Amino acid sequence: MKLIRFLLSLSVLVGCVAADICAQTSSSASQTVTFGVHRSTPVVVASAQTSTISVSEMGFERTSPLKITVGSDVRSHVLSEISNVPSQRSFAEYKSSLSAVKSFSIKSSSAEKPVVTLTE
Amino acid sequence: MSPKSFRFLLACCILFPLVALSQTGSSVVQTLTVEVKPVTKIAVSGNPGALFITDANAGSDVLSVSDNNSKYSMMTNLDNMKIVASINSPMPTGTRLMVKLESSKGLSNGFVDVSNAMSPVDVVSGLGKGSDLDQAITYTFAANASVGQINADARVVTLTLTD
Repeated sequence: MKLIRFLLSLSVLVGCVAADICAQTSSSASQTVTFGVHRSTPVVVASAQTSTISVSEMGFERTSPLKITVGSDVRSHVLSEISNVPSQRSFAEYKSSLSAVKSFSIKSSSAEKPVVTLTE
Repeated sequence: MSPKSFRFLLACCILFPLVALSQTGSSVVQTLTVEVKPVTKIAVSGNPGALFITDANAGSDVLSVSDNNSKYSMMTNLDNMKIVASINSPMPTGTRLMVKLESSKGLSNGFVDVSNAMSPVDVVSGLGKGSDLDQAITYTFAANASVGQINADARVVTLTLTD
């Protein structure tokens, strides 16, 4: 596909030259480079049956899943498994839109109030 | 002369010039003017992946992340060409953006700091006539350890094939 696009641009150029309407001695192409810095600081949520975690501290789009530790039950989850995140969204979609999400909730299914730790 | 002989001679006199005028070939001439104009073209495959620094290496003063998922192609019929790079606005204080263009036809200058390259800086030199397809572009974004959090931001890097 890239080769086709390049060959197409070449053919346009050749046609341009044949028509004697242009001569190029320089050409430019631009790229948009997106960047950011996030200091990896684990977010620890105090005990609560329902915990709300602000992701504003998380800065911007994630490049890897977050590990969630609930109490002593150490499990890794992708964020799409957490409540308050639209379940129909895949992790990839959620990852790309996380910067727009300010907070989400984690609810315990038992009476025990969980200690939730959110890390990179 | 008999009337029969007279008619025969008359027919010969009429037909002979026609035979003499018959054509077996014909030519016309055209003048073609040809010219090859200077042609220079560079194209990129798209934008690089996001350069997010998300963690620190213990003991490191500089954090960095790289991406080499974008490529460029170029062609020219001129000699002594080069590729230069520029950025639309300076990078934040304490950060650097470097770019490296691979080249099979010219000499890559390796990683070139374009953090403040409002004026173009050379990234590939010594390019001659020909084309170079799908050469890798590598970006490295680096931040000093003293730099705090920087939310997602973007810059436009322009690559120019020129003399």
